[in-house]
This record gives sequence, structure tokens and C-alpha cells, in this order.
Amino acid sequence: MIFRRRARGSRSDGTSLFALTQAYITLDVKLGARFTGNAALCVKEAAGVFNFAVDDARGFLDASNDISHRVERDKYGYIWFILSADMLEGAVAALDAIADTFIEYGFREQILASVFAFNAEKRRGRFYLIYSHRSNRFYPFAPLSSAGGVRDVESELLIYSLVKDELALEHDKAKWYPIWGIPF
Amino acid sequence: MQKYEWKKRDIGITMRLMLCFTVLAILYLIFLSVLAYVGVGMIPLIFLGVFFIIMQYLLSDRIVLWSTGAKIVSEHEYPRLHAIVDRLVARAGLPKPRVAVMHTSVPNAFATGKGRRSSVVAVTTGLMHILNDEELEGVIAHELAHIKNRDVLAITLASIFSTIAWYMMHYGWYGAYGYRSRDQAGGLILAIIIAAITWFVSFLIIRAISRYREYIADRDGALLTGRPSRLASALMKISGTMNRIPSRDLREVESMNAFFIIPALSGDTLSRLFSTHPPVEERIRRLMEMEASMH
Repeated sequence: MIFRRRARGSRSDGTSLFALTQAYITLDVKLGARFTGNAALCVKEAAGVFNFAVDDARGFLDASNDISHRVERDKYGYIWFILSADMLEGAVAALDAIADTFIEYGFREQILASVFAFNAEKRRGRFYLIYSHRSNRFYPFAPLSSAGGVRDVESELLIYSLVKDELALEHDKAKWYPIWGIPF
Repeated sequence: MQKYEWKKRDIGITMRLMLCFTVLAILYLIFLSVLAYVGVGMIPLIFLGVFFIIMQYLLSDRIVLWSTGAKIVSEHEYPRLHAIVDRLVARAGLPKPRVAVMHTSVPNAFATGKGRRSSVVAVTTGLMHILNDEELEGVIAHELAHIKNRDVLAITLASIFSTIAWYMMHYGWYGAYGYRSRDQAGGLILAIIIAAITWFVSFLIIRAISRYREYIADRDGALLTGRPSRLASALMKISGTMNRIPSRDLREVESMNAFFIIPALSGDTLSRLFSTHPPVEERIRRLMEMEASMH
């Protein structure tokens, strides 16, 4: 694996991520969707300098008063920064900031995604919005069971139709890869 | 269990129906051309042509059932199917159509019949297998919307007009070249060729009309169930779009992409090249927008 250290700090395209707070209003009104308070950044673990980036990210999160967090590692070798925040805005800002930390260290390619968890009262329950930091696009993911490998495509398409004018969404459904067993 | 390779054989029933009606139409054309050749006048020919089409309309359910191999089934044989139809016709205020089943793994459905009173709704065993009850209800509501909108009659009327148009052109051609050409052997063949072209163009127009009516039936069927997303997800399963939404974990795919220069998506890209169903995608898009607007 080659790590490219970017000299000029190329920050992530935050605008499409921040649009989530606007789309959340629509999801709330139309679906009764509530942000669960949990969101996460998922990054592929590496050695060496990567640990400094992890320390920086943790330091940032420790310093954030309104956000608590925990760090988990999964069987695929990914490190999860799982945030608990009262407000979606706070979670979006914090995830954008720690994503930038990894990007500034040159680990853009290591970032898998940002994941936001919602509960939809009017539908079958839990769904996630997954944000790819590579394409700067969101896509919905509604697992019917956490490990079962079955997803509620109908709900996903509905979420897609509801927010497609407000959020930069991934149009190619063949790229809507699930993340099974999200730890929150 | 059977393996469902419906993606490749999806067009089976449609092809059989189209072949059946194409052969019928060509037979009419040959017959009418022969009559024209032996000197039967224009007015009797138009009457004959219209007569053929009306006969075809009156016998349409029998022709369709015969060419697709669909069998009328009783409530005892398919209680689940009958229950869905009963629920929907009660809500739509339609007389209950006869219910038929085709024994094939291809997921498909159709409605036919002269009018609201003597209609047939047919589904394949493959459709019942891959769809859940809610999705099946969505599909049947779509078919009932066809019956309610008298789409068979609409298409038949369109055919009558296209037949009349064909005769206008046919006689226009004779008029231009005079009756001398009837004595030449090439005359008849040329007449048939021109007739075939005219018929083909009107066939395209009729297809355009039926596509439009398809959207209408989607909308009306969705209003009947109140849940457009049910038909949308049924269409996704039938068209194979559902299979394009991956179930493989993003992290697995990421690790595959790291090892291979060609992304692990090539299978998807290939299937996209070979299965272009823009109308189905468009239908799904419209239905989901309808669903979104209902929330």
C-alpha cells in the first residue's frame, strides 16, 4: 500500500456532507425519522504515522464537550470512531473534522465511509445513510437484520426519492454496498 | 427447486403473443391483398378488415389464453391468488375477472378480455414464487387497472384506425400507378411489401400508445393499493434491478479492489450492458416519486 502525503492540505468536500442536516428535516417530516445520536467514521487501519492521525482524531473528540465517543475495531481491519451526539449538526461537524485529520495525514484512501443512524417511526425502523468520502455522495442502507444479509430495498428507494433533491446521492444503485453489522 | 433464469427468458410470453398476432396480421394482409388483386372493391375490403379486427377483439381472451398456455384456475387451487384479486376488485368496484395461471418460471402477468365483465387476469407461477403478497397485489392491481381503463379495447380501436390508414395508402398507391400494374406479377408482391411496411409503422405507433397506457395503469394500480412502492419493488424483482443492488459488504469489496486492478464490479457492468431496461427503470422512478409524494 502506498500512502500519499498531501503537502497542500486538501480538505474533504464538506458541503455535500453538511447538506445532511437539511435533508434530515425532510426525513423527519416525511418518515418520522429520528437521528439516533450515533454516527461513525470508518477507516482502514494502517501502521506508523497512521497512529498519530488516530491520536489526533481522539484528541479532537475528547476535547469536544457535547460529543462522547468510543473506538472499535472490526474483523475486516477497520477502526470505527463511534460518536454519540445530541444533535445531528454536531455529529456531522465532528465527523467532517476527523475525516479531515486523516486526509491531512495523507490517508484519504483509507477512509471507508461516514455512517449516520436513524430510526424511522413510520417504516420498519433502523436505517443508515452512508457517506462515501471518495465520491462525496450518500446512499441509504436499511438492513432488515444486522447480520442476515437482507436489506429493505423498498425503504431505501423511498429514502432515496425523498431526499434526492437535497442531498448529493449515489445514483448508481450497483454501488450501494451494504455495511453489515454496523456496531451501533 | 428450479433455477430461475428469468432474466434471459423474460421476453418469452410477450414474444409468443407478438408472434401469434403478427402471424394473424400477416394472414389478414395476404388475404385482403389477394382479394384486392382479384378486384374486390375498396369499401368491402375495409369492412372485411374491420370485421377481422373485431373478431380478433371478441376472441382475444381465447387467443391469448391459447397462445400463452394460461389455464383458468379455481379458488380451491389458488386461494392466495383469488383472495388478492377479491380484495382488489372490491375496492376498485370491478366485476371479478377470471383468474388464470401459466406454469412457467418466468415472472409475468397480463390482463385481457373484451370488457370489464369478461376479463381474465393471468399470472405465472414464477411471479407468485418471487414476489411476496404485497408485491403480487401491486402487480395484480396494475393488471386490473388495464381492465378498468379498457386498454384492450383502446388498442383494438387503434388497430382499426391503422388498418384504415393502411388501406388509404394501399389504394393511393394503386391510384398513382393505375390498374395496369395489377396485371404484372410484381404488383401483388409490391403491394404486400408496402402493406407490411405500413403495418410495421402502425405497429410501432400502437406500441407507443400501449407504453403510455402502461404508465397510466402503473399510476391507477398504485392508487388502488395506495402503495406505489409495492409495484416498484415487484418491477425491480421482475426486471432484475433488485439484483443490481449489492448484498456484498463494502469492506469486502474494498479489499478486493485493493488486490485487483480491474475493480470487482465488472460483473455488474457487464449485466448493465446486456440488460438495458430503461422503461422499467423509468416506471420504478415514477412509482417511487409517487410513493415519496404520498408521505
